[in-house]
Amino acid sequence: MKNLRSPDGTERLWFDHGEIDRIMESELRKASLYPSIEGPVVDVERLIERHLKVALDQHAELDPTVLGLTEFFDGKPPRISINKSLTGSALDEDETPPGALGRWRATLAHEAAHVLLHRVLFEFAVGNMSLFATEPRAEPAAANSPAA
Amino acid sequence: MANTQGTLGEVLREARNKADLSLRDLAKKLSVTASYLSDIESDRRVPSEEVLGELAKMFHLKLDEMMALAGRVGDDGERYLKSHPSAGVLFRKLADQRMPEEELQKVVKYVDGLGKKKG
Repeated sequence: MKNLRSPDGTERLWFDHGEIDRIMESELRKASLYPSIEGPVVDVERLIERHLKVALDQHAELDPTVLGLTEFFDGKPPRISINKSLTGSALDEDETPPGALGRWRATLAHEAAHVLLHRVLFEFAVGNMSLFATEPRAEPAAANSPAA
Repeated sequence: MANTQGTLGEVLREARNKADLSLRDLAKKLSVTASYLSDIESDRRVPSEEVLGELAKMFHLKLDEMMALAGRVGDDGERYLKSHPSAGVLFRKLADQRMPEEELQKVVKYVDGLGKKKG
């Protein structure tokens, strides 16, 4: 992980692909969810709720253009919200449209990655804010997955 | 009951995770939809007294505390309030005085003591 300066002058967090793979594999092993012959499919819900201790709302009322949202709070665990239309089409309907389940799982994994890779940015921001702010932070910091 | 334990949804979500149940596993056990449970855990809906009773039993939670977190007094409680106006007056006085949690706990203990003497 390193900070790179983008063309507009802002600092951006940068992970190379191998580093992302290593972080994710390590977390899956710690959670005892690393894929195996007996269990080739990662239980992403379990990873989020039990291992990352994140509040998961799979039936959230989100803008139709947003599939998922990750929010960080000061003093509380993060929350991942998944658009209820996506969860409904992937899991709750009698006939799941092709690809819906994969899209739902990819969205959960994407949001879990925000928690794993980007929590440090929120913690850094809160740490810095406490130097200047006198009021507690009211609004959560959020990262979302736009619908393609 | 301390106010620091979280909302009803937070308490139920934590209890479900401790019981190692997914949202859909729990929905099947209770014969409700996963979206209904998700709404409860996210504090968008208040569960019925029946569902709350089942959840309290399953997770070994105190029903009285769950009912309080849900802002419900229950069917029996509502009937009692209607037939005993002084109970409503007592509640309004507590609310008007913005009585803090520790003082409320003293009142609850006192009332529990009265109930034991009566029993």
